[in-house]
Amino acid sequence: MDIKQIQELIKFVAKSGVNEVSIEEQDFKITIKTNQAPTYVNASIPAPLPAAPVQSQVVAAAPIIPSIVSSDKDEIASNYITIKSPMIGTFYRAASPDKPSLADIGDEISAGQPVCIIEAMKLFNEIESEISGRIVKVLVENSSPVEYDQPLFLVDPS
Amino acid sequence: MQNNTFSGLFIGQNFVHLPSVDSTNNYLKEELSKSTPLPEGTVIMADNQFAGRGQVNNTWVSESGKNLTFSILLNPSFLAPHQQFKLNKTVSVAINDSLRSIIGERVKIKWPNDIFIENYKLGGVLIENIIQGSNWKHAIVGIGLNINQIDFPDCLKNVTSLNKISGKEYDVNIILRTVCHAIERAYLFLRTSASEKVDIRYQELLYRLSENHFFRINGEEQLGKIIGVDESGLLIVDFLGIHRTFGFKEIEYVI
Repeated sequence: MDIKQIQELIKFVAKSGVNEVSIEEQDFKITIKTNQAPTYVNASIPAPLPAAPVQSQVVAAAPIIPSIVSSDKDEIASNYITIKSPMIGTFYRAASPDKPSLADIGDEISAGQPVCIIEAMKLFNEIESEISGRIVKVLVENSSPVEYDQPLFLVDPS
Repeated sequence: MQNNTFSGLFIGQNFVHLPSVDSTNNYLKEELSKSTPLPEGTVIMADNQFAGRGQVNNTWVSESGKNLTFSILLNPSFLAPHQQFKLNKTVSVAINDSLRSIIGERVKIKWPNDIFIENYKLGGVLIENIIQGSNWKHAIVGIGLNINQIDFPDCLKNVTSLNKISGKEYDVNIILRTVCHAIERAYLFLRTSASEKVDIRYQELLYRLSENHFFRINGEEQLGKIIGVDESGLLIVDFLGIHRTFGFKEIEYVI
């Protein structure tokens, strides 16, 4: 399938009103998904899912917007800052199960204050905030896996 | 208490010896949060650690003064936080090699960082890091080694000590210095070189490497063979030709 055929296919899918089309040929697989907005072609795996190799070609018809951000459109508009994960691991909101969360929604945090723990291979990492502000949103569930650079908290620095 | 019995350049130059503490890692973390900066290489040792953490919050049951429980402060800002398994390898290899010089070649590293002699646990490592953005500010390396304790509670299976293995009494201070010296050398080497030597040595020392054994995965026992670890530290196991990788707690050794 050449690029022109792909472009036509995307147009066709967009007009048709269906949400998803998958086509598989001998050594070629394409999946086109349409959400109301944004429209994008997606063959990659969103970060929080367990890694599984997917042999398919990724063709971006529109910029792929990370799922976490796209679901929070209101918040992109403002000047919130994210605290991101410096590594792959498991995200914990407290230092141990019997302790309170290090940072809750609404908490004022200052730079250098620990906000969460990320455990990786029995190494425990206390993650300190680089910024001061108020926690607006916790973007990851306690005790769930996180990827490198995955946003963890939204902070209002004002 | 200050002490100059450490021969190295920085590890142990600031040495605090406590009769009793909840955990030497916690003590070090609290000291770090105070306004006076702690020098890199600070060692906190306790004769009795009453709430030391082993894996899965198992408390490390230790008779006062018979074993070694200590923590070392390192500032590995020359590494990115996602490279932290490299430090784990460095520390594990150094402990292993120094114990081998004392008790022989049977000492192994049980992934990710337990110290094993045959099927018995001799000690463990608990590393706690403090990270801000991409800056790895501190690593608190907590080490517990069973030295002279002979009797262990029945509930603790697969536990041993140097004395139990060899029948000899050891001077815990000498072992402390030997292990700290080895860690310092290995750490300085890590800081100045991107050598793969530590990766190779870590792999060589892995408990149950290239042997067929049962592993428990999601409650099911499966026969597999450890191939090694990947760069992030995930364990690679071969199940009848199919390689799978595991994070800590995703796989359990059947011992």
